[in-house]
Amino acid sequence: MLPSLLRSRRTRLGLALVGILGAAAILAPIVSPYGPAEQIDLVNRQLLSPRLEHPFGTDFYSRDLLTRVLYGARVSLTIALLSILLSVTIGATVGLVAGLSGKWVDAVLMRLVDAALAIPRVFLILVVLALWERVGVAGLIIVLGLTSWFGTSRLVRAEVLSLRQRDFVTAARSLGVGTARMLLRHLMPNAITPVIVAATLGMGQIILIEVGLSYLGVGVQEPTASLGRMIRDGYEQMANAPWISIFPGVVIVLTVIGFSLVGDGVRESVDPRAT
Amino acid sequence: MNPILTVRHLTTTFATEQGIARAVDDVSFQLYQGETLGIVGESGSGKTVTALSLLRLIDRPGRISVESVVEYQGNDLMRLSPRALREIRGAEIAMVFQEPTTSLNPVLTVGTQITETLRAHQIASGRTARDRAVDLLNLVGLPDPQKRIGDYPHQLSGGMQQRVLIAIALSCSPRVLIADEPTTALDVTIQAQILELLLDLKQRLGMSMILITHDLGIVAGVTDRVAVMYGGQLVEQSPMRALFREPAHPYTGALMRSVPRLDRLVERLNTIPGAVPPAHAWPTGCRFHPRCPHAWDQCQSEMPTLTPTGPEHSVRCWLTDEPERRRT
Repeated sequence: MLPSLLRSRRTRLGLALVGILGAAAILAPIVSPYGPAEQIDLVNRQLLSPRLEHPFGTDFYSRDLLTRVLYGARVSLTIALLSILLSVTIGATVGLVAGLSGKWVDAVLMRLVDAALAIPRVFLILVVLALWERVGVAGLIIVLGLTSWFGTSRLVRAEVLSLRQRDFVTAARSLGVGTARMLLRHLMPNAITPVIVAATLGMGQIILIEVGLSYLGVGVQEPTASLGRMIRDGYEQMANAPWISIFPGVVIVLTVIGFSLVGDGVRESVDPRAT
Repeated sequence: MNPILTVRHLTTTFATEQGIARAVDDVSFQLYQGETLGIVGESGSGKTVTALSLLRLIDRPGRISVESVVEYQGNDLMRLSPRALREIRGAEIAMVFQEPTTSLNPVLTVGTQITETLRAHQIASGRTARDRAVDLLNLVGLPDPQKRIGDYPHQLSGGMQQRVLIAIALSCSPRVLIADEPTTALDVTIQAQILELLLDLKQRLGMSMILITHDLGIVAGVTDRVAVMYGGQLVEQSPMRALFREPAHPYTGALMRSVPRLDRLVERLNTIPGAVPPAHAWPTGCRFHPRCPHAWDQCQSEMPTLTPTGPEHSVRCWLTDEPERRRT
């Protein structure tokens, strides 16, 4: 799978983007010249344009923007990764249970999913966050994870339904393989590919949602840096210090493009029908 | 001889949009200790559903009717708890399927799929299970089992895959082996090898076997007794030699005539006119009557019963009452 994944140039570009950003996010505390909320020199280093000692410039509070972008990417990627993991876990479990049990369990679960899918996701999240005072990063992860598993559960359910008809499942049953083993060894590994594709593509989406929420001010709160939060911080000074918003914006775009390219690449390499 | 498996009134229905399909209809037979019983019939005659029903492997919309009884060692498999049934599946009664390619899990190695059954029945685990898997692959004649054990199914040929499936089925030393068209998906040359392997293993391991096939040529070589199925019912049951000497049911005779033979030069192969009707629309009376050259009005209106005509021989045909109506 990996060699065929690397064959496409676009996928390699995507992997490079994701890899660099991931490395930057992980290494942020080591490579950053300053602390993320450190106010270096409020008198002399306020709203500095990009220069050698501050490649991305500084903001109104005299904080180094390169440092904040690195930490912001770290926060945004962490939120996206953990909420995707949460969402995939819930989605896969619900899908497996629905697909395997059939009958009314399936009907009830899938109607609930339909109902949830009928509500636009951003509104759903906004309502939850509006009711939740002082959401931390952990809270944001939970809210994002709990509102994004619906599609995954349908993918997995469809996959399980078609797998159940396959000969090797009947063969395994004829050999006395129990339900738990059937789920973990026969159904899950065969149903996992669409989930991986959906999760990779979902990373880009969930980063955008987190950015949007932080921009609206209901996501990550000061002084924690997140990419969306930084764009919001910069918009008042857009005219005289555009770099405050531009650099995080560019990083967001590159991240989302990276995940899209990787997701498409994964899909192409596992599904020969995709073009 | 003692029956190891006694099947009585086995009936499996499927709820379809066109109505209730009686895919298996009141089938009764016995499998004796150490014998090979052939179940023969065209596609759609209910052979595979019969095999799956024996281990209750029927999914909705299929249903096994309540009057069905499958007796194995004093237990009725149709009434066992799911847990108890699971202990019998694979360990006591195992199956080999028609399509080796799709019957193996594509994402697990050959070795894993063998050891999985051993672990599921708590026969062996870890190192011992691995060793046993190698032994089994040796037993079924897979070359270089030490290396093959790490292979995925797609790395093997069809014949090798079928050998692996047989190894899996034999892993827990079952007493009954149900082989559903085990050679149909294979090349003719491989067919003979696999068939020979099955027979040899049956002898050596002292198993009883149900061999399901549409090919009377296969039945002739290897079975002790034969049950012929048509339209979800048994239409004739007989020891193998007697059946070939004197097929009593017109359907059995027609099946025999349609086996291609090397010792006769023919322009066209013999076929049975028409096709097996769908299971939701069995004809009235004898289910074979629309395709039967001997049929008269009684055949259309009344269903004949499976009548014993001799020791170990029974037929479902009105000709047993009125043999003079048989056209030659």
